[in-house]
Amino acid sequence: MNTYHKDLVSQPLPLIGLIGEESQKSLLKNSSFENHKFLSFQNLSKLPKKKNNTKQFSESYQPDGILKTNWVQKQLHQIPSVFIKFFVADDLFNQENFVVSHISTLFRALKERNIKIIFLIIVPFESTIANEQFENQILTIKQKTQFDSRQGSFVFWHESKPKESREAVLINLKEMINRHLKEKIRKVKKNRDFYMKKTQASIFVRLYFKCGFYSEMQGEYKASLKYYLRSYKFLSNISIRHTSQTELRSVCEVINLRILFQYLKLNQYSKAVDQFQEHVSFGKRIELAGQDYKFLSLIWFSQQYKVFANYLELVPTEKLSPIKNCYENIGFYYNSAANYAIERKSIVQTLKAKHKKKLSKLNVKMFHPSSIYERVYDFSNCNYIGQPNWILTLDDPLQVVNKQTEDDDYFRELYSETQFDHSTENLHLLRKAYRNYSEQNPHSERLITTIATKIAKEYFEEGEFKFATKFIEHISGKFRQDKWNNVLSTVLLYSLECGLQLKNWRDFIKCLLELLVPKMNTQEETKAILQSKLISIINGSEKEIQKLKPHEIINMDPHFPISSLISCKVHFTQPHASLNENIYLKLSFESNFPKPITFKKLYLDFNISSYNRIIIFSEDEKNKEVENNEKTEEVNTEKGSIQENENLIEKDNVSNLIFNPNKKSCFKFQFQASHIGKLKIRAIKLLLGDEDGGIYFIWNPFEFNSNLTLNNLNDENFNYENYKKNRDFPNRSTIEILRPLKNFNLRIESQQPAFVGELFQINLILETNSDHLMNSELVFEKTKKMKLFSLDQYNSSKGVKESNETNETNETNETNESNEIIDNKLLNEIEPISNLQIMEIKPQIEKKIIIFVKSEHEGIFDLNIKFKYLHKLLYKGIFNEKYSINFTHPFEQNFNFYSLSKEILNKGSLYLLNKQNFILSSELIMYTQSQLILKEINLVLNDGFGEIVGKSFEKIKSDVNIPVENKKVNGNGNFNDSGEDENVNLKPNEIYQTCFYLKPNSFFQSNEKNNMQKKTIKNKRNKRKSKKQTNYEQEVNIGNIIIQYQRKNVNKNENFKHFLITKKILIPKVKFVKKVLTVDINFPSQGRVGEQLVSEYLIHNHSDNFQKVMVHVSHSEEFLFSGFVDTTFQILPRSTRKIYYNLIPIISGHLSLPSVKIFDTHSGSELTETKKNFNIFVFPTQKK
Amino acid sequence: MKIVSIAILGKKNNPLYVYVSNEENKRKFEYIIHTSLDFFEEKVPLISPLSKKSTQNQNDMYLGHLFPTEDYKVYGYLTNTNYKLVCIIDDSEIKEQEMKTLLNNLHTILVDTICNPFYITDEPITSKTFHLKILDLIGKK
Repeated sequence: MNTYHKDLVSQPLPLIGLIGEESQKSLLKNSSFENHKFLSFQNLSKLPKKKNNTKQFSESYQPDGILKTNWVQKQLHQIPSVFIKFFVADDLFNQENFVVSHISTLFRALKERNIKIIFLIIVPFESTIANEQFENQILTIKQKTQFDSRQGSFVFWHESKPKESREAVLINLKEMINRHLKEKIRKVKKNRDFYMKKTQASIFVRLYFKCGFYSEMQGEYKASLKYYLRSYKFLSNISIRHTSQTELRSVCEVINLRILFQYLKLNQYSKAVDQFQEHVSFGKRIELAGQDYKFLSLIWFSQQYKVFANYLELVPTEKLSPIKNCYENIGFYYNSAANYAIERKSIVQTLKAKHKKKLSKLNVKMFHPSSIYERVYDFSNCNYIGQPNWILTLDDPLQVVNKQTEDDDYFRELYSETQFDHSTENLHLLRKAYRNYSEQNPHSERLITTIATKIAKEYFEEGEFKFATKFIEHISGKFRQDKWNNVLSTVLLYSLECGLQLKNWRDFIKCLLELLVPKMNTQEETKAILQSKLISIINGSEKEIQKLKPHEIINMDPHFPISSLISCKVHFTQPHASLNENIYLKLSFESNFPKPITFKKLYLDFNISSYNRIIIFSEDEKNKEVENNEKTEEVNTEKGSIQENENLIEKDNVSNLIFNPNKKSCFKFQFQASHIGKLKIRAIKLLLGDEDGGIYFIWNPFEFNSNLTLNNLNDENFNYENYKKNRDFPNRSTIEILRPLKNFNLRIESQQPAFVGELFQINLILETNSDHLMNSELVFEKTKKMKLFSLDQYNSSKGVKESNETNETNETNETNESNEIIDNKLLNEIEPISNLQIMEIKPQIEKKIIIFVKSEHEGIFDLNIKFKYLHKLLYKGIFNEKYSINFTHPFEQNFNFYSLSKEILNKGSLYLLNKQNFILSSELIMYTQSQLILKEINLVLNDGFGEIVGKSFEKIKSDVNIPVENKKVNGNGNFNDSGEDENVNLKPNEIYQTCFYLKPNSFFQSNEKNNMQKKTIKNKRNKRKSKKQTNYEQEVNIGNIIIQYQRKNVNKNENFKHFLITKKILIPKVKFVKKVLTVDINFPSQGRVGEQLVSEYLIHNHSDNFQKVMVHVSHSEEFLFSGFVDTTFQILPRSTRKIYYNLIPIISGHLSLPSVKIFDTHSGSELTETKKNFNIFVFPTQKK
Repeated sequence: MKIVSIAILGKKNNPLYVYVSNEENKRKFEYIIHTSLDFFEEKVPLISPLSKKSTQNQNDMYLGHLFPTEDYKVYGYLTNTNYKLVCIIDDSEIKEQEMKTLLNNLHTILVDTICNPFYITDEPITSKTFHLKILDLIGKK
């Protein structure tokens, strides 16, 4: 806004002229009169001379210009709307004649100009004149001066009442000003009738502008807007023939400013935007032709956008929201202003170069270029706004340089333009645009980037390389992300120059390399120059540029744009290899450098550092050196390098590390596998330069590079996790080095689970790759829980036995089976094996060796085999193999005694049921997946316990609905006793129940004494441990269930018959408790009141000792009784003692007998515990 | 209406083809075309099938006037396969239907070119036939 004169950008205020003494004027000046400007006058001579009215009619058909330069100034600073003349109250009476003449003179002088006047009569504090006197006196004066009340008024200023006086003055002032301005508008409007709208549009522009200006002074914005818009409309009707383009443009600028000002006052921002668009369109219509004059247009456009943006910035942001179109952002206007300004700068620079000679000769004192916009509105004597004779000298602003030729004007203008600080202006506008867009449209990243690019360019042109670099770093990422290489290459060229100027070689090199990338649309010539420069920097031959120290590392990650400069592919020739075998690694590079490029070193890094190689290439091909490790580089350079070189590099493929553009260079390297496991290529490095300095190009897919954030992490689509996963060389960058193929190989085959007690078959399979017959020895490590047997050993020992038996027995049936079924008894006689000699293993043929493992324990046991193989008595190798065997039980068993009542079982008095049968039941539950053939289930009772009366075997539950089958079992427990070859097939996941019916015999009767004696001794020992266990308790083993079963051959082709397994299941022990004392009670079931009843208690002593018993009878209110109440007595061994109680019932009904408690004093237990309450029914007395 | 530039941008916003009537100002137009991507992204959610607002213009790929610059107007068109067509005209009045037809025709030309089996997807279009068709379309042949 500073570019315009303040009169153009502020609201015009009416001017008020003050005539009188200074002390009197100060009365008004000190009082706060807002929206009024005061100007002191001594007399009216200061007023500008009045034009002759007749001139208007004689005015030429077309005026010389549109708006006069001094018109606005006159209205605001020279011609007051109202004059105020001060009088002292006493003068009205004392100097009446003087006052009258003075008023008359003033009145006449101002009436011609239509200026109003207010006579302000100051009434001092000490004045004693009454108001009525004043009024009379003023009436007299008015009559004498022929006073016109429309032209002026009298106002009193009472010093005693300043507030009231001020109000009175204000009201009068407002009235007079309005009257004055309205008259002026009326007068201007009258003039419209003299002119033609179509042909004399410029006059209408002026007239309406004046009307608008007067209305604005009144504060009537709507009216003023209406007049200004009309004025602007007439302006667009003016043909360019009649007036110059510069004048039109200047006038429309002034009117547009007033219109925008009115819109903003009225809060009509959308309309302001529309007006501005129209204004810009109008400006484009009247654009100057010719490239040389274009900068004038650009100045104008830039200025218009800038001013409007400034206007909008004054508006509160919340009020801008109603503007809902593309133009809603202030940044847009600043950006547009900047675009024009940038174009202007470039054109001016071109013109400057073009007219260099003429401009240098031009030695004119110009006004300061920064005030270039003031030309629109100045107060010189030039007549019209925008006409070309307004260039002023610095020394005397009012002295107009005489108009010379048009050329002189142009060059003066151009000269001033060249002196202008374009960069500061451009940066100011761009920064404003950047800030506004960043704040209001943060999502318009690319738009902001474009502005940032322009800022960077401005900084660059200004020589502010640091700032330029900062912006370039920011913006290049966005262009890179969108793959806008054309724009990026331009930006990078700036960055390159910045790096050069700032001596930031690292940035310089990176930019340079990126510019060489084939996709970058840099010209081929430029690329060639850049590469030469790169090489000279690395070699240190560039004078100004210091050599790169230390090395610069360039990551050739595929996500980096530089990666396409050289592509690297690497793979092993085979997927896996054996130890000590030769491995071949193939490398291929494809260079996209514009010119051939030579590398000095190639580094191959593996996950195992011992494989790492450095290949050094000197210019002389013969001096190629290859080293195994970086540390030993110096040592190996001289010795043995040629030998290794021959092995490592195929001469045909590799000449040196010169990469030609767009051609592939292939290398093949040989290694020897020296470890077992995976060999992976970790990184490949190429060195451009030497040890002192240069560039490393690194392909390292296994290390995440933090620099990546610059380019890709801002991308929303970039998946970091995928990126990390996929960071690998392509297929076959890894080779697996395996053990060397053994001459001997041993493996174990066993498909089924091993059962406890079973002779479990394991097949050991031996194979050899040797061409010769080989012998081997297997040594088994001895374990306590597992025994090993060999089939050969068994067969040999069995063969001996059979030969003995065949002479004696004729049982041929058994011998047939004995080939397959191993006799357990025989097995016990054979020593378990600890080693096995195997002779003659034929090459390329598997040899199967069968061994058996047996364990009586459940669990996982390791079978360690030391395997020695030899050829011609020489050991070729020894190695250990370890296998785990899991021994499990095939059954679960539950036992229940069914026929024994709970009470008896609890008491354990099994002997009391001497003559009774009871059932011993067992449940067998299969859980193995193997199918079994149940050969026999047998119960073996301990001696003297009893005999088996009957057995049954049935399937009680099944997952599949199979009808329950019952099998009768013979007395021996064999299923095939009936002569039929009928075995029971046990299927997986089925439950079978076996029941045995037992009849205990005189176990206790015959063996009681012996057993009891033995048990009592044992029990005495255990007494301390268990208090509950008495002398009369004992545990008895009933016997065992013996099950014989065999695996079933599931596969019909399987010739091998599985061995019979005998499993012995212990029946849980049964506890027996013998009672020493027992009580029997006899009493009648009914009675009658008053009649005697007898209850009898029999106490038996079953033992051979004296037993002491204590009797206690509690008191009863229902019976009268006689007998022992509280006594202790002894009972003889094997005898019975009777106790009688005579009872006489007193009450009838259901009565409980008096409780008799009998205790065993030895154990303290109550013998009558289960016989406490007995009830009898007592009848009432019988009627006689 | 004077067409000053036509551009085809790929799925990943990369330029596939840029025609500029005045080669001197090519860089300036490239900046404008690149900036237009912001407005594509701004308008795409509105025409996305998932958007609730896009009930009427789901099948309409013509995005209309994207944004103005001080001298030009930028129009956009987004194909179903996410190719972006940009047309820059001078600051004169234009009928929307005209521009829509022009961009539809441009789309047809683009489809024909992309269907060429020798064309590599997302690579700049260098076909001379395509260029001639574009010149024909804008009446410069």
